[in-house]
Amino acid sequence: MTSYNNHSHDLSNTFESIMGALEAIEIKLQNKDIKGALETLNLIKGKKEETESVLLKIKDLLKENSNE
Amino acid sequence: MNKKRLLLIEDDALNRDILRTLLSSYGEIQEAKNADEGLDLLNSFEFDLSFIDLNLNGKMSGFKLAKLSKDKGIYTTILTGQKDQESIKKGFEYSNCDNYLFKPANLKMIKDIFSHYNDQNGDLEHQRKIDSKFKTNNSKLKELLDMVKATYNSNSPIYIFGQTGTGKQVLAELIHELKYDHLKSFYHLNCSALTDTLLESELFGHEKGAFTGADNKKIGLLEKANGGTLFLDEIATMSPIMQNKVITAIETKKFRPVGSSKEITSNFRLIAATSSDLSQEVAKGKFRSDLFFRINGIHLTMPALKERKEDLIDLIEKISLQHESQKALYLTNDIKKLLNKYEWPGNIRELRNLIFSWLDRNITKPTLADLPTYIINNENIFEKPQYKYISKKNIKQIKDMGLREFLQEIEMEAIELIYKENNKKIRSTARTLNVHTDKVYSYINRDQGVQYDLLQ
Repeated sequence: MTSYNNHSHDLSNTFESIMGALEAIEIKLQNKDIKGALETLNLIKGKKEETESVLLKIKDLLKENSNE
Repeated sequence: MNKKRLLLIEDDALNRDILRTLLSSYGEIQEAKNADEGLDLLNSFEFDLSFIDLNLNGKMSGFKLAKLSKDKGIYTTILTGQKDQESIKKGFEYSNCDNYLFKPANLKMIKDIFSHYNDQNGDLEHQRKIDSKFKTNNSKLKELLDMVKATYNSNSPIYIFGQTGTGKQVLAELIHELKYDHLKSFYHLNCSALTDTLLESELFGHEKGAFTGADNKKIGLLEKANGGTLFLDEIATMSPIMQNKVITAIETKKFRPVGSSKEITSNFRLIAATSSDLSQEVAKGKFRSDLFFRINGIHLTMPALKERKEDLIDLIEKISLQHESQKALYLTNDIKKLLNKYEWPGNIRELRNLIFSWLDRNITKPTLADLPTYIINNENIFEKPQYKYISKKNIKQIKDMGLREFLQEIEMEAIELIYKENNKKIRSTARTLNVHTDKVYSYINRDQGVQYDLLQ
């Protein structure tokens, strides 16, 4: 259960960061900083691997539990 | 508030990007992407505020970095994903942080942090700015500065009344600095120095070809001061026609440049100043009462230098340090007494001119000979005589001698003057003075040293 909580916590943090990044993009667009907004977008894309990795860990955990 | 020095320690690139964006309008940011870099920055630079993540790569934990930041007097915020009670407790108790906040940061969170920071530190900063321009022991000026501090964030128009040379412009600059620091523009216009046409052009601007000589488009100060401050000095000298023109612009913050059909909106803060009492100008019908009420939002009266003599010596020291020679000025007690006795009708500007004239001539220990006679005699060179025959000096003499003796002295002096003019001829002196010759003799008898011509 502790492992699952840790993974879900990581996932939650990642999603919250993405939400925060959307506000950052909005600010950059208001400031006409298109280049900066694209950089933030790329950083969000970078979170995709992180998210997939956590999802895989949760999947493994679920598998382990089902085997038990 | 001025821009702050901000430290951002965060290992996650996306969170760093978010914070960088949110903080960019608040100050100069230095970033560290791990604890070691953060430690280096903390030890190498000075910061006002820090934002520190807890889970950091490096030798030091986020808690320890936050503690170090706090120990250095930095307003410290822990920004983390760790929401457990144990971490929160450690953040406040061990690190002694000012804020413990959960990621991700957002604009409201950052605004609240700076608002809290300003509440804690703003007052001190405001006082520092005030002291740099007006260090005073005078109760009237202290009250005025308290008022300025209390209303620094107001948008109400400000009216400054004060004699010439009291520092109205310096006060206007201070008011601007407290509200906007140097982030917005301050524009100053002396209304007395311009004709109506020039004043209109300066304030409202004009289109190209709007009138003869308007070869180019000109942006007026009302437009330039958008978001900042417009200081109109000597507004009482504005003609009734110009008063009519500016009243709407001041009221609605909307106006049209000369020759333009396009209405412009400008959100400027108005500070107006006069050296004559504007309420009296209104009473005389020279200044529009509705304009007076529109500019008289916050009323500030600058005390004259003669009302704040307790500041005189400090002012002399401050002014002498402003001179390019950087030479120290030494004043003997006698000179100090005379300067203190003098009423300074030209106020600080007059004091400044005197000190600079000494230092320009390399006079660092002025003597009586270096003082103008009007200061030694405490005469107001600007004051119009209040009475036709009696001066301020005479009033003191009348009090000391009594009226009878004073009049006798004047009589004797008049006889002496005419007697000498008439080549010491008694009869012609009496004729000129339209008095009996006995009167002339009484003078001569009194003044044994004067020889008269008995043979005339």
